[in-house]
Amino acid sequence: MPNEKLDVLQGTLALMILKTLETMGPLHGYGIARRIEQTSGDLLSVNYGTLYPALLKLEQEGYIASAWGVSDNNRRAKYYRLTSAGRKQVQRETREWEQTTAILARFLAEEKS
Amino acid sequence: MRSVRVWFARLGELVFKRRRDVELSAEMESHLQMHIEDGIRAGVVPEEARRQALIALGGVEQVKENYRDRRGFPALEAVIQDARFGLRMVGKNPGFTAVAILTLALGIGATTTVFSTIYGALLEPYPYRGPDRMVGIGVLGPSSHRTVVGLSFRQFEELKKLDVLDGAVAMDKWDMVSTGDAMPESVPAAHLSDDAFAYFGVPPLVGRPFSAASTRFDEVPEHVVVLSYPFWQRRYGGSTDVIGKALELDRQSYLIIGVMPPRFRWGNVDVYTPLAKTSDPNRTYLVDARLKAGVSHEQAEAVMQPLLESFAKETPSHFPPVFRANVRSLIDSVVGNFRGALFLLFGAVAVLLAVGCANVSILFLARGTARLHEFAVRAALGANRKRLAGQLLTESLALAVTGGIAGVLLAIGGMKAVVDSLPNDTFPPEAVIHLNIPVLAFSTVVAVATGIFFGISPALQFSIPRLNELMSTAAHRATTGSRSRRTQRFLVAFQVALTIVLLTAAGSAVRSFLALYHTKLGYDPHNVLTADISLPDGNYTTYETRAAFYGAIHKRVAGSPGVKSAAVASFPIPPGEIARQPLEIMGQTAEKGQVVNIQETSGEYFATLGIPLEKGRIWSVAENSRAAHVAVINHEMARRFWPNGDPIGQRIRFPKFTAFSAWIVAVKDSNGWLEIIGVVGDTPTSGLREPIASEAYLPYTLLMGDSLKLVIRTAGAPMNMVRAVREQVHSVDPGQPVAKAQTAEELLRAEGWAREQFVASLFLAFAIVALALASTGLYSVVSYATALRTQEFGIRIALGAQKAAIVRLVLSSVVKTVGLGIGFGIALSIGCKSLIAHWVSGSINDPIMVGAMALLLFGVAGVAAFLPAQRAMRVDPAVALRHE
Repeated sequence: MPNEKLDVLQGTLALMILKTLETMGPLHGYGIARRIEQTSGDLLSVNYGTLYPALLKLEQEGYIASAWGVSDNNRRAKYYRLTSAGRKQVQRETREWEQTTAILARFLAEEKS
Repeated sequence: MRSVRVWFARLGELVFKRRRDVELSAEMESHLQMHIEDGIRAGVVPEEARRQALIALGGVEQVKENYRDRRGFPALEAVIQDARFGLRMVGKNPGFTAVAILTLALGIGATTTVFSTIYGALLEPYPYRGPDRMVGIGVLGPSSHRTVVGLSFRQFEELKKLDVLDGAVAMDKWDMVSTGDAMPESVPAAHLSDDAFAYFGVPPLVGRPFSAASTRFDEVPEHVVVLSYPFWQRRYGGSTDVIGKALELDRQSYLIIGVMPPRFRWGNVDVYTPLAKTSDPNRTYLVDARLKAGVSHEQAEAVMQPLLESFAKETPSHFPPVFRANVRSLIDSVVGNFRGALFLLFGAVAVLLAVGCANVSILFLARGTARLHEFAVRAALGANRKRLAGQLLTESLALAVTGGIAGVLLAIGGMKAVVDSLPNDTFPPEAVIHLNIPVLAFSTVVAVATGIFFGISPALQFSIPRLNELMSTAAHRATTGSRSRRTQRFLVAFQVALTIVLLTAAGSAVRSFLALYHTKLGYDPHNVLTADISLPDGNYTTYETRAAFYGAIHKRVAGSPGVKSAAVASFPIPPGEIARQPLEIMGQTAEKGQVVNIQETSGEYFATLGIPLEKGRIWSVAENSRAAHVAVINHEMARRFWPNGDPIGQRIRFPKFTAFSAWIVAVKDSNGWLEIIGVVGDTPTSGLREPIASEAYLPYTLLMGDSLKLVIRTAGAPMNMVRAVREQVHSVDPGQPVAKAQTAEELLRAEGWAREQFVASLFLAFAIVALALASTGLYSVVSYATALRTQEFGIRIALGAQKAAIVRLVLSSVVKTVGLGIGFGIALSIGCKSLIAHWVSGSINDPIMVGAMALLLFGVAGVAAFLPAQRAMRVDPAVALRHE
């Protein structure tokens, strides 16, 4: 399926955003989207119909904060950064996600054997 | 915790909505630009890069929509939007709005007002313990005439021991005179057995009541007094330091020990003092008792009968020759036969509420049907069912709540009007008539809930799968909603039926009152004043002094300017109290228990009241002063005892007409033979609704009690003469108070006229409100429904229908609906006939009344249907076809 990109699985976008901000530092929405797409090896596409509501939700929950800044090419953009609550949330969600995938992996392994 | 934070964040965003919108646009613009720039850097031409970016990112508006859903509270915003829209709709249909609100307000207001009045007066009038078990003790004498029996104190104590009773109280009532002040004032006093306050179970507001065993047999009771609340307010301004002060009554000093709360009004007197426990069998007291729970009146009467019979052997003069024990509950003694009428009124109120609710539901249903198309369009444009229901809910909520508030205000205003217009003595003085909050809440909830339920009913019958069908049928409304039209028709018919029942009941109550109002009084009550002059204890105790004193007062008052004539009478204004005496006729054998009413008067009595002399003559002043043994009888007595002969010159005798107690003085042979010298016209002495009783009038000088009652015909307004009368009395004896001065018309009103008048006016106001409600409801519904058929008429006209045919069509459907309602209503009121006749006299199925009402309702419906039909026909068919 060469041209078919996957939509981001529900519930995972938040973690991707948080992880991206953790590794990259403050970033604007476009940057976040591009970074997620790149990291996924261009398998995922992020359209801003899902991105911005997700960002808003995280901001409302207090995991990220935003401020207007200037981008590399001198364009005004809103930059998002991780808050300390966000940092903890990344760790928590990472742990949970790892557990989930591990469990799922065991199930899938059983199926094969 | 997190969710609380989110909630606050969203709330904040609700406030800064516009700024957030601008920010979002800017952010997305920058996002888009970055995307395009990246594309250009990758070597795509700018236009193509922009196109690709837009495709990749999806619709900008959709994003904004998603974003907005996340931001703030979309649900709350929807409510605000609905409210705004609802208000716009309300404003666009002022007629509909006004009718809906008015209907709700009238329904709630009228229901609550009337119910509160009835509740206060009938269901919860007394503050005493177990008031529904409290009864007055009396006997039914010959011809089932009820009299209250007086028991001596010994008898009272024996009665109290009966197993069926839960306490009893003995009372003696006479006016005391407050002395020691400049002007003597008459103070109505009740003298109560010493454990009375424990019996009533009402603690005093201030101080203490007098307690049991405070008095001993045949000793003068302690001189203590408990004040009633009104007296305390009037005389002492409600000051609490009256306790321990002295009040001089009948020239004796009484110690004030307590004040009763406002609702304690036993006997309707000013003060309470302990009753003397006397072994004198001739001192008698009124006895009230409380039955034990679960004891019926019949059981109590059966138990009392042998005891009362043994009492009758001890004191035969206190009992009729044959009698049956009779107990009457407290409330019956005040409200009497009126109870039924009031409950009927209450039923009418409930029906009115139902009419109001039917009205509201019809209105909302009709409107919902009319808007079905609008909803179909909205649904097609993507509104979900929840949202549609939500919008309807907000709209009907706004209307219903406004109507509810108006109803509450109306109820408060109505209550004030009722309390202000309530005549004195209409209801027991203990009754506190005020707004009944639970009832207000109930009727408001019912009315508002009806509004809301029928308001959202279009959404209830609305479902998305039917959307297509609705869109198409709604667009061709000619065939719309046969189902909802049936519902509507049924409701209109139902409402008409209820109105008929309500109006026939109200009408018959009004008519029964009118019949009463026209009862022949047999005299002219206009410009007649009565004054009550009670002797203070221990004054004018001999026959000579009392006769001289009464004569002097009579002469003085009769001679004062502004007085046309004045007379003395034992019971001045019929109907009123009556005295019944066993009668003997010379030359006839008396039937067992043959009694007639007797009145003691001066000779001027008949001229003063305007009672016509039919035969013979009236006794002269000289005969009056020498207590001549003569009598004048009424027409009824002449008819009864001398149906074929001439009563004039016959002799009659009242064997028990003697000075039977210490405060009565009489000539020696007051029970001797009297010669009948005249026959006068009848007066309704026993009551306005009672048959005329036989009555004999005797010169008052034969036997005189300790109070003198004057009847005065005045030249001008009677109440203006009160002062002059008082001065005349004082000129004879400065220490003599004049107790009550009342006009005959006032007395008449108090004698049931007041209540009848009051209830009849309530009924009348009610019938008018009901008729107005029904008419507006009918009008608005029919006209609305007809207006909705504008398009259908257009089609018919376009197809060549004659206008007359359309008018016929409209009218026939109205006639069918209303006719059905009227038929059903008449059937229903015939069904209720025996029920209602039980309560009010007068025919309920008066054909003229029912006919007039049916005609009125037909008329209203006809006009309501005709006007919009007329309008529709004047419209160009092409316009009508496109009519929305």
